[in-house]
Amino acid sequence: MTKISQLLWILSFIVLLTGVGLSSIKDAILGSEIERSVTEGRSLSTISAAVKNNRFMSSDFRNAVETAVSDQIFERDALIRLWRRFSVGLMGYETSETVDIGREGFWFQTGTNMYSRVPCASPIETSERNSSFIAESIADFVEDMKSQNTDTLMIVVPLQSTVTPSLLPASIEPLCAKEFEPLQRRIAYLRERGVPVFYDLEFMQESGVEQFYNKKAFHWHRGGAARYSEEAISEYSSVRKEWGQDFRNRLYKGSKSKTQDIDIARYLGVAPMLQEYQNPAYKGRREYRGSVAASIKKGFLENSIRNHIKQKSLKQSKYSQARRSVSNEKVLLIGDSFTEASLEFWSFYYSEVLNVTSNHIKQENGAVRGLVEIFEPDLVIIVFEESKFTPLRSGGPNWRSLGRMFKRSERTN
Amino acid sequence: MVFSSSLFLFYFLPAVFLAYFASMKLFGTGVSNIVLLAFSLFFYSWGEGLYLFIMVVSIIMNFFIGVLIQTSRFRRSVLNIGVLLNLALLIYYKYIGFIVQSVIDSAAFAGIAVDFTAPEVHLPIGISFFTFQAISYIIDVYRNEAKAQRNVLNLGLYISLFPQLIAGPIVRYSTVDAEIRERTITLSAVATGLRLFVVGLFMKVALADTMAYTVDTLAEYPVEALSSGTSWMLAISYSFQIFFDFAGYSLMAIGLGRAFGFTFPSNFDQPYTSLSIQEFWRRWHISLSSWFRDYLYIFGLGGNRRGAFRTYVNLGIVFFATGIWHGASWSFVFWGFMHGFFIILERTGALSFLQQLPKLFQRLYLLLVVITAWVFFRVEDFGDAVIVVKNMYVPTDGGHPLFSHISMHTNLMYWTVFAICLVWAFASPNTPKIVEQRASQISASGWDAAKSFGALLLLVISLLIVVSNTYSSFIYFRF
Repeated sequence: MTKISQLLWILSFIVLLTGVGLSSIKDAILGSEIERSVTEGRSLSTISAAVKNNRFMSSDFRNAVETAVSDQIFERDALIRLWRRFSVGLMGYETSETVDIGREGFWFQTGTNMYSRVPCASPIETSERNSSFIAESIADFVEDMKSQNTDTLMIVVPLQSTVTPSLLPASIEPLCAKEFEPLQRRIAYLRERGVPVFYDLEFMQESGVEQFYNKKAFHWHRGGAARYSEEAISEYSSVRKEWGQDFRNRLYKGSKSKTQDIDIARYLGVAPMLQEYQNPAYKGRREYRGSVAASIKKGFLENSIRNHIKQKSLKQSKYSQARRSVSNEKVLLIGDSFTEASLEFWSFYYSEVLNVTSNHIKQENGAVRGLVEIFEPDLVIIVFEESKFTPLRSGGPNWRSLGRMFKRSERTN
Repeated sequence: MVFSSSLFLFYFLPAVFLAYFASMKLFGTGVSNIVLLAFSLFFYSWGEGLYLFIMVVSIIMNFFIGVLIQTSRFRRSVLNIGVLLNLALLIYYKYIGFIVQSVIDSAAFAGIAVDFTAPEVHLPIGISFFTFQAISYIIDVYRNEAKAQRNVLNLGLYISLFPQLIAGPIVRYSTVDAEIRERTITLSAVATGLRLFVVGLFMKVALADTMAYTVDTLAEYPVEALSSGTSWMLAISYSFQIFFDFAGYSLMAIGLGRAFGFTFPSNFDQPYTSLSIQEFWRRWHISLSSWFRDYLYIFGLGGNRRGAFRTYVNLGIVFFATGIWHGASWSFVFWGFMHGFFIILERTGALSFLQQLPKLFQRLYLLLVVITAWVFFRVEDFGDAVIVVKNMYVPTDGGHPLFSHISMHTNLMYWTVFAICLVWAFASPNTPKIVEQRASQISASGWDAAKSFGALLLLVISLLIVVSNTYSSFIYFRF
């Protein structure tokens, strides 16, 4: 009997693994790229595509094959939903084909494991919701800028699914329709602290979502970024003299700006500074700008730049230099990936625009302040899409690093 | 490719089994060795590409060194050169950047100008493991505990065997020498081996990875903002994560080895139930600690044969090596020294005092030391690690509700898995023993069927998780 049970176990093991593999192999090798995962809302990759698009046995090839194999597992969507029904159900959530619905009506895109890491997944008290680490950090940062006579403008971008709720799965109750609106509270908090924040959902809805987004795209297009940014500076025209005036006809056709990807560390001269900092002889040198040297000493370089250079996380920033612009001043444009589409617009207005996104500044709370010290912008523009403020929204917001990005740090003061 | 990936589970493993068992049945051990070697080299090249050449160089180099040790008059010199060559390989690929950076930092501290930067060298996966295996081979040949392998393919199989290539256990050559030359496959061994593999897979994907979500979240926060509660949560969750991750992987390696006819030694024996740090190191990563004990402490440094002071110095060296083996960072060195310090303390009399206390206090002592030390293992920045430890022992409510409330970072799934980890790590007997245990004659078949059914259930759950998850890699992958 023992031998029989052992044999049965071995056969079960092999049949299970081999069965899934054989069932998947046809799709893995011959599957069409057009096939999409309903659960994840994306196209599934195939081995044939991996072979076609990558050099054999290169690291890209191997990664692509692994991805294709994972994507083409037999009945993958069904297996994912089966597991999620159990694991998500264990937390008291409901789950459907594309989303999980939390206890308070918030939702997450199925297919990501991020919901267990998203804050506010457990109910927290209203008083805690009223304050936001991100909002506080940004308000502190703006106050700092004011003290240095640097203007700021914050632009919060409504997502396409907020502009057009019909795009959401039917099982979702849009959070913005509820009485409880953390986004609005955070914007109100920022405005109370003197931060100029532009958020105009109605403007987008009245104009039509296609003016800002391509269908089914997550990011807005450049035209939409320009329209929304124009509206923003129109509303806050009192902040800067060059705002609110119509330069479009004069500039849009004729203006040329050269935008390039830059290694920001080297652009700002930080890499040479790093090497010189490693040379203790620098301690006696006085030619550095005093505040930068102070930042260096306080740990900006120690913790930030060395790691950033090593991680290459500052190398994907963009720098724009305009031959003709409305203003000769410099702008530091920071935020999330929504800044990239708006870079062109701002480069019409300003002769130099340095665009650094939160994706490329990792977790270092001194980095943005250090950038301000070195780049010395006349204006700081912060652009975030709305879910960065509202952890309850889908998309796994990278709010933790955002908060750290702006947080006041003793090490750089 | 990792053991918990779809490619490995659904394609590579069935292909290996098919080819291996067929070749074993039709042609015997010799051909099956070649089959296993081919799959192992493919396995490594899939992860490392052209860096496979490093492994091939190591195999060929150690093959000739082993033969020379056995045949040459200058055995000791050849051994010394062999050890140095192996260490040179390891030091270059793993430590050169760290060494150069430390020199630069030290020079800067001393006021000396230097004009170079640390090189960035690719770290081949598993180099620490297969280098140590190679060193154990040539030392075993030198000590006449094993005959030099005259078949380079067999030596290649020993060094590159894929179950334990990436993350151990470190298998002594003398342990598997006979099995490499000739082995038999039994139904019982294959069944047991596959059960061990499945249990290990479950430990990794269900337990370790769940703990990892919370650990990764907390480790990203500014450490000054963590409260005492969340700092302890980070430390304890990581203690579970690293145990189940590493023990799980070891079990998978041991299980696959068993299925192929190899008997790899156990690598973990309920380490968190230890009553002293000395005992902990007899139960944690047993293959590594015994390697350092036998090859460095005893063979290299003389052990405790040269007086008390020299013994403590030797222990310090061993734990420095243990720390740095885990990673090229001063945090790992500190972690090693921390363990070494407590071992020395115990040997100087603290253990006798400890043994007079109730077991509860002995356990508490062990857990406080080990869990605290893990903070330095996980938190990359040494300064940040110190702050986390400070938060653990000096009560603080943190900087913001977001970072200080444990409830913000947990849910029912976390607590369910936490409870399982607690029972598994502390209350249950050694996992391999359960899987291998023979029941009494009366209930042997029932017990076997129950184990098989249990393993099948764990397999189904693990496969569901694997399919649901994104890529995940083992903690010890880059050692």
